[in-house]
Amino acid sequence: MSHQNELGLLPLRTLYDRCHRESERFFAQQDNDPRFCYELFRRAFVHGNQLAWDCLYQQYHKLVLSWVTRHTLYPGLGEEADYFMNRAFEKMWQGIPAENFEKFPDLKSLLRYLQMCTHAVMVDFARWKEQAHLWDRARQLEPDDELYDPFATIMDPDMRPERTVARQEMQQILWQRLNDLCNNENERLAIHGYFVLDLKPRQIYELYSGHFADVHDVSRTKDNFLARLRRNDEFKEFLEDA
Amino acid sequence: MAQFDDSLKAALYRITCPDSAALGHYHLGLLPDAAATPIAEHLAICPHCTQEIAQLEAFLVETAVSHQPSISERIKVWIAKRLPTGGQPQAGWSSPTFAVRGGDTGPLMYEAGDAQLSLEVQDDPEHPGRKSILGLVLGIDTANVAARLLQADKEGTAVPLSPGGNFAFTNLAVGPYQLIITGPDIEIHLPELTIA
Ligand SMILES: [Zn+2]
Repeated sequence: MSHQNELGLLPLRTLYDRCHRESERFFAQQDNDPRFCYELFRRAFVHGNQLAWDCLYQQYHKLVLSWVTRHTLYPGLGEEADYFMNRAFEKMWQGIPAENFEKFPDLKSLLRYLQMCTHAVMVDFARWKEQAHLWDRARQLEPDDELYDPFATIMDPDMRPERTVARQEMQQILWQRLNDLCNNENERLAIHGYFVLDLKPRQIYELYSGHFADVHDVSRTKDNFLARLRRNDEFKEFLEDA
Repeated sequence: MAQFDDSLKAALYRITCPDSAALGHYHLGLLPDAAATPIAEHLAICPHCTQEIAQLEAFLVETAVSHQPSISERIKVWIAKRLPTGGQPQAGWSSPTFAVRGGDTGPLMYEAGDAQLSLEVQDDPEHPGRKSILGLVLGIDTANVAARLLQADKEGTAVPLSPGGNFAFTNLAVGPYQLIITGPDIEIHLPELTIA
């Protein structure tokens, strides 16, 4: 029986104590044995052991908090570090199904994954803030125009980033509808660059230089498409039904 | 007019971008080729995702937890297996749980990796109604090795092994225990030891 298999027979409490002790050795830059912590992860993910997961949270939440506060995005997000720390654990929990655990051969690879999750939840939040900012800007341009707000259903500015699946479905439908209305590949590239990637016409031209005669060609293509879109009754109905 | 443009931009902003976890899986090499290829193609045109990947890379470097190489398997962990009188591990053992009663079983023999362990549970003459355990560990260097008896969540007292490998616990109540023998590079666990 290998030593890792023998660890599988240890009581959870012993495992947690040993993981804790070895982690302290690790941070004191002493020789350390990562297998106890790894075994905790294995029980959590492979066996779905909630107590093992609680132990991992207990062991690593302060470390994850320190990662959050060191992330370059953190100062600009305006949200508590605890919020991102908890989301990071959730993301990790959801991200590794039992059958995928074998992709993580050691503790280092698991902690790297937890770091990736920490980054990912902060990026989710930053994306959400950027989109809310674009939405605010769109509404501020014509603050008196309260009569017709075709995108209000799609863009609920109060929706938190972890609850945006419904919105994304609506956005995908909208995007598909616009794609269907494109007459050619250049229109598709222009509106993707302009509306989806928020690029300037010059950037779009440089990205797809073989497609457009010049920068003006990008703007013209986009404007033609928009003019056609505004006249399209079916699209108008689609927005009203959204 | 401007509102229509800007509303459309707000509604579609980054709608074709992979979500942050997909980018993370891609960067960590966890995606199969079929899922990785469209992400690689997207990165070729999307400055936002390219920047997020660069941030992730910088973050992983900044928070890297490998400042000291881990010494894998520094400690040998052995779970003690009970031996029958003949000296071989019991066939088909499934759980290292044993109930031992003072005075009626004789020494219990265990094997744990290179070590052999014998335990003798007796009535404690000094403390009527209580038990004692006399233990002997052979087969390993016993310098700086200690035995610890734990009951439930209580941290048990550690007793050092003598140069000959002997140890003793006295004044014990009946009940479930856990015996751990710890040295600089070994751990022997007897996770469920019930003294009846
Ligand atoms: Zn992107």
